[in-house]
Amino acid sequence: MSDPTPRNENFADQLIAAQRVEPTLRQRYEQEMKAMLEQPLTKTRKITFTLSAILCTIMMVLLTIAAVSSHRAPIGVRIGLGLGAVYAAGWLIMVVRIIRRGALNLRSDSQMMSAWPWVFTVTLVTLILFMTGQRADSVRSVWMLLFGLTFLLMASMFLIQHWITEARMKVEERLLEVQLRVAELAEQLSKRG
Amino acid sequence: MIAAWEPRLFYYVRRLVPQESDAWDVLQQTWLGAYQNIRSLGDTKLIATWLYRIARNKAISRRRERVPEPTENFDEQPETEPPDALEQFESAAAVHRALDQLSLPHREVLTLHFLRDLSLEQIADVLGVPIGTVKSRLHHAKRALRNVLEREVSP
Repeated sequence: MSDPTPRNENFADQLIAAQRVEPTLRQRYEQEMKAMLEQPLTKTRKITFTLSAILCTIMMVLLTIAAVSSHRAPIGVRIGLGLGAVYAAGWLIMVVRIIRRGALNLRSDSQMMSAWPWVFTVTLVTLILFMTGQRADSVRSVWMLLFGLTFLLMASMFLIQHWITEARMKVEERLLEVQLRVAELAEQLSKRG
Repeated sequence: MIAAWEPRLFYYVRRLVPQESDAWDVLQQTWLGAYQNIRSLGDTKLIATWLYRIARNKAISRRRERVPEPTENFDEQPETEPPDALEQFESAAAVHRALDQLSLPHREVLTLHFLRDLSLEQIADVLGVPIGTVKSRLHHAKRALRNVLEREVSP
């Protein structure tokens, strides 16, 4: 059953607009939301991210040069090298943004960190399988497959790391809930006593 | 998702907790809960019900923490005729002011109804009551709201 009581279609919006908010409280909420989802970078993390940025830059440059200059290589190899350069560039952008921000966003960065290797891995493994099927040389095919599986393993590590972060946040919330409940019970007991 | 739902959820939560600072805290906890349990949301079509339910649970916890009071129960009220479909409340500002003068169950059901994100079935799901109770409660709530509005017009 539906009975849209107010005839005006924008009634809900008008109702929401009628709600006055205290700017300082809203500001505090926005800051807390930001803080809740952002972890400041520790010294170790800063060093790790800086090293990653350097490594990504080197990889990006080398792979781009290799993709452009290897005229005699099969097209599949050149595409693979190009993909590697794009992957490195993607990581570089992400890492630089994190370093500049000085904090790790648990929502967007974490998702990106788990998604980006998977996108790359799936694309690369597809390419490798395609090339393996085209090659008569079985030893090289096995090596290529191993190469693909190595990437798959690395991507899995990022995915597991993402799950661990999620699980940790869940535990933290449960702990807060327990603390809240204990405080509530303590208050009730003190009133009775 | 936050940008789309924040104003509506805040409006709803604000009707449930006594202080504005509590409403912001509850909203924050709602997002945390939603983020952590996003996998439990099987069907994205149910997002409205899911978010309102999380917000309600957080608001109830906060309310209990702040105002230990007996829960007002309107479920025993007889199910009279369904809410009158043609009944209208033209002024949103007046309704907004009047809502705060209603009892919590009436305020809550009317807010969910006026925000127009949920069907009656979904409201019943959020409140954890049968649909008949929602209809009945809505009917009484509208009557109470009309009384408040009439009192405001003719003091």
